[in-house]
Amino acid sequence: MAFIVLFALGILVVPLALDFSKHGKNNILRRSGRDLLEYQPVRRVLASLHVATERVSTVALSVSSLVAIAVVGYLGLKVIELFVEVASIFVK
Amino acid sequence: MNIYKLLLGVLITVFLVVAAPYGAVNLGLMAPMAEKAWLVLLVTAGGLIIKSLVGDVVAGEFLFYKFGYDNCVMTLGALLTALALQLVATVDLFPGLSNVAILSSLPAFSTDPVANRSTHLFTLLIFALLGTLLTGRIAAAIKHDNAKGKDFLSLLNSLVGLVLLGMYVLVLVTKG
Repeated sequence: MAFIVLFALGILVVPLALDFSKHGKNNILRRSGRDLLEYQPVRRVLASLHVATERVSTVALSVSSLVAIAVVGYLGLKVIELFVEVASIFVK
Repeated sequence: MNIYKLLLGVLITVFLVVAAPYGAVNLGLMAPMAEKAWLVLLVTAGGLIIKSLVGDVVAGEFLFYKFGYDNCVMTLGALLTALALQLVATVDLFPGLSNVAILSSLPAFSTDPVANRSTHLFTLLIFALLGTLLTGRIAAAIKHDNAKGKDFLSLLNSLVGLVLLGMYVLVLVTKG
């Protein structure tokens, strides 16, 4: 797993640098974080907690998008693990 | 783009993809690397950097969603070739497959280790196929402006592609 994380992050550096140079502050990480905050269920939860989402810093948006992607990736791997477990039951 | 920033990006990529895995091996975070694995990693990193730069120049901007889909297709093709080679071989050509954490817990389908390796490669191929279908569907939705949250989905697409490609490269660079 360590290798896959290093590989994915390493290869993404150049595309991110290209995107940062083209879009500056409004880069993919910020836009992705903004998308996340505008996602209806997330919006509803934040509204119920009285959290304002209008003026969020670029760093916070970038971190939230990376965390969300890590969570989605983790859940994806768990689904694959579940598939492997089920396969093991049938093979045994 | 500023050439020095680009060079810094390239250096960080080379460090993370080629050098850092050796550090991870020393820390016991991953299985030992095969002989000359650094060369495989260097060529892979170089190829993907060139692909990124050419993609940026050709499309006018870097398309993250397309990058993810392209990497899935590349992994699918590479795995098809690997499976074809393994099916006709009499020895285990990919002992490094045991080091892919998720696949290492796959049960033995046969008493023959070579047949088992083919089955494990086939399983990885199925994952690559599912990844290709998922990233392809997302890429099509983004291209036709049908996707909500297209920037988040673009980033997710590129990471799905890189994780799949990373799994395949891990198979090539680690000892069994």
